[in-house]
Amino acid sequence: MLAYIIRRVAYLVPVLLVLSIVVFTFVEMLPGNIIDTLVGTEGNNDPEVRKILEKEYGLDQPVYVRYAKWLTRAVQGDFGNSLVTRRPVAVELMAGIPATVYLAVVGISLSMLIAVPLGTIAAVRRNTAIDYTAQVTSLIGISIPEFWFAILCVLFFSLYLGWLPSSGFANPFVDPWASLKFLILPAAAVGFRQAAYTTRLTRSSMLDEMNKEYVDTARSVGLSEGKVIFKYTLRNAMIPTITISGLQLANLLGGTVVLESIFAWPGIGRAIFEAILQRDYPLVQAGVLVLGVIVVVMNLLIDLTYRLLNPRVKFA
Amino acid sequence: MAETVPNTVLALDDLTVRFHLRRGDLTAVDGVSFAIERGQTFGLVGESGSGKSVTAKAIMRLIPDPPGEIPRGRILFEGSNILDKSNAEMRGLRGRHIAMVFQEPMSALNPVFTVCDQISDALRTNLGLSKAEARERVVELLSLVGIPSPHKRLDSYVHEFSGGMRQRVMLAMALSCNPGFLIADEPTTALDVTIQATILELITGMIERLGMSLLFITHNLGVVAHACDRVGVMYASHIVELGDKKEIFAHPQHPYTVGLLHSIPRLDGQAKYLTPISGSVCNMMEPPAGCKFHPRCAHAMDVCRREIPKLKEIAPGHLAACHLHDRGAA
Repeated sequence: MLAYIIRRVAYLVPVLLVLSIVVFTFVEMLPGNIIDTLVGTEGNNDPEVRKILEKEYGLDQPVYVRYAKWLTRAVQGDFGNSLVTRRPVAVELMAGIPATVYLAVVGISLSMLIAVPLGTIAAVRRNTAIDYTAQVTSLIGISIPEFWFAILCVLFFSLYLGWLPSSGFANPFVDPWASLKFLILPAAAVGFRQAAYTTRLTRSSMLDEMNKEYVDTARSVGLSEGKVIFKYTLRNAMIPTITISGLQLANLLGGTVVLESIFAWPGIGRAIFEAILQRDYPLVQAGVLVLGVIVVVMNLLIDLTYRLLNPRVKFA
Repeated sequence: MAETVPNTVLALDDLTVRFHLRRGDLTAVDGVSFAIERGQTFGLVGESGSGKSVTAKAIMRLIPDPPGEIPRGRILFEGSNILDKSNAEMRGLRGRHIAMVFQEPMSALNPVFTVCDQISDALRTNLGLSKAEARERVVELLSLVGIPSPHKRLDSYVHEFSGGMRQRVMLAMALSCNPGFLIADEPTTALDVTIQATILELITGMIERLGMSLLFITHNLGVVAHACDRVGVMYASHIVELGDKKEIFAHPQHPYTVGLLHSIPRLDGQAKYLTPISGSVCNMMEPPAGCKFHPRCAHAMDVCRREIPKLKEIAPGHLAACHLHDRGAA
């Protein structure tokens, strides 16, 4: 087990290295650079000034030298300073992480709370009104774009009914009540969409499992139907559901750029989105790298939890 | 027939099971009647698809409805009809009075719970044992069915056992709450040939030791010869022959049974070649009219194509459903 974890972590090194190269060259290939922005704002297009500035920012050096320097500092947590706020990029990004984690975790929990019971009941009561309702609703959830659903929610609950604030964020540790009000709409938007997928998945994997013989075995020794379904069958059916939910969580932790923008949610996704608009390249580079790291590490965690769910999985 | 005498544990009376499928209706079990005496081992023999397993599931009331339906018949267990019982009454029966050993232990045991979890859940539900008591009883059960060092295997998962050991676990689970009646549905079919005999001995030995009755379902007449007292031969949802094992082996009355007996390999060299039954099992969605076996029967007559033969007593306790015997009677 420990050897497996060590090896998996070791595998992360080349993955992250490739990721950093991609991120660096990607931003490098974008048209324009810092100098354009700086020179542009100061209304001065003197080539001499450009040269001086390029030297100052190290842009006169070849790409691989700059990459090596960037990487060396990035490994130490130093991604340079934001061009807009002049504060360290690492600080800017770290500020966005709690809000993103908050939204992602609540959204996925909400999704699981809806999807697992609903998918299970839909499977048990197959081809009844409950099943059709669950299926049609989740089909709608998958089909409509997330941002559109979010905007509809804002229109209805904030502007029309006036129940909830349309956007914003409050620290749950400082003002839990206000924080909850801000959270409801974005979390519902995230949860509804993810639940649409997981409900269908839970339903179909429950249907699969319910046809297996161990279900009849459990019945044949006199266990109650509730126990047979919710303990013996669901535990098996949850294996794919948990895996997919973990991947969904990894994606959400990577920032729900669109939702965070709609709801003015101060997360990492919105930070990167704004950095792109403002051509704050150090922040973009660092942000994308951090997202990549989050996804890769989440995948590792999912693989490790897999063993808890499915004893047939051996770490070798 | 099949009015229950006190010594009868299980009596099926005209049991009919039908499935409503998208392609049409399928009658998997058609008018099956037989009785099992206390302490007896009854062998139900037939090819795959003949309705043996559906009969077993009907007795456990495990036929899913829909698509399954039991339009006719009674299943009398200890004198009362299982089909009239409420779900709660049925749960009280399962495990404590009737239990079942399934064909494929790998899929019949739950892959994500340990052996101890599964068996002790039955014990705690049915016998109200505490967690510790149940655990102790599981150890006893595992050693009873011959699993070496049961203390160490208690918290193993099914996939960590070999095929034969899995079937032992399955048997331990079925026997856990001291049922008086056991259904074994092809318990040796999925096992290595070398293990089959051991498991068969184990099951019959346990039945004898615990004074249980057994419904043994198999496609293998050789196994029947070894294990059973009475035999029912099923073909295409009907019982075609019913009688004491010795009678059936010595004087088979139905051409299908005769065919089955000819296709058993023998070690004493009496027959150099096996004689298979020609043709294949009829399509159960569109069964032939009359006797279901007539397209494969060498003795088929006109009446066989029109009328379904009824089970008739040919010798005391020996019944067969074949028109050949009408001719003799007429």
